[in-house]
Amino acid sequence: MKDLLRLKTSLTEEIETALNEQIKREAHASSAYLAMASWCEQHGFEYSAGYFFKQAEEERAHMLKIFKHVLDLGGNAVSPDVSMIQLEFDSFRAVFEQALENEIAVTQSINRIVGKAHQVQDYTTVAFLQWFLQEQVEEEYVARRALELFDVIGEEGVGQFMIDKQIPKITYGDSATE
Amino acid sequence: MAKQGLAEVFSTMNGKVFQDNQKLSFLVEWKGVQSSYKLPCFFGLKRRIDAIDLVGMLNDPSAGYDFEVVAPCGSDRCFVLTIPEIIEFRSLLAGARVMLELNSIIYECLHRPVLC
Repeated sequence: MKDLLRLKTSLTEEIETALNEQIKREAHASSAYLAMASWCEQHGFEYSAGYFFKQAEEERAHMLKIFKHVLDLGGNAVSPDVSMIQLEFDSFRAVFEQALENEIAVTQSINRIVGKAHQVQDYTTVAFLQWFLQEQVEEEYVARRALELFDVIGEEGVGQFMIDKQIPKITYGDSATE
Repeated sequence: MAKQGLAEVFSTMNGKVFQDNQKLSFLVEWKGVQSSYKLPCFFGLKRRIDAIDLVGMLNDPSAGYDFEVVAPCGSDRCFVLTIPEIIEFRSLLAGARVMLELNSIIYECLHRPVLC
């Protein structure tokens, strides 16, 4: 009997499901950043709003990258259904706390997929996800640094205004930004 | 082997799944009626069947929830399934999936090393 399964796709069902879940997480992250951009804009933090708009675009680009990878390997990429986006935040700081939480969750989920891919000897997916792991180092660094600014600058007086202005200037090292 | 080029993949009391090695497709025989599916549609059918909310159907007393209508892609066939039939059909497709995975493993062990 011919191996139709392998002729059609080189992805196992488990990895395909995991990658589709990651597609959904990236789409969710993109929408979450959009909600943060909206909140920041409405509360007068326009530099931060710009930063979150950019983040939303990046997460969407990540989603498409995984989406195309699944299709390139002959798999079934599922257009994600995104819901339950947090629209309201308690404070300016709470927005960035949530952003960091989201990035940590994304890093952990990518780590889990890499672990699964190793288990089933899907080294194509392992190699593909290396870029995402490196990207997450940068994403977490920037999110963590943004939160640090609240302690370094302080929120009193013109503090929030200063933090807002500094947010888009946060950069990772030259090697990561290339 | 049921017909030339057809290999039986899995069967239950009311259904059978065959692989058509010439057309590279699957033949699903359910209660004596056959329908053919390309691989994406075959797995699409499996996902549709797996996604049926059986608990919801069992808890809902209205007659409309006593059966489910599933029209898979790439075929004119329409499945109208009662709850026991959904359970059996689900087993049929899941069993076929496992056998296809097993076939992949066997193929990898026996055939591909010879090619390389």
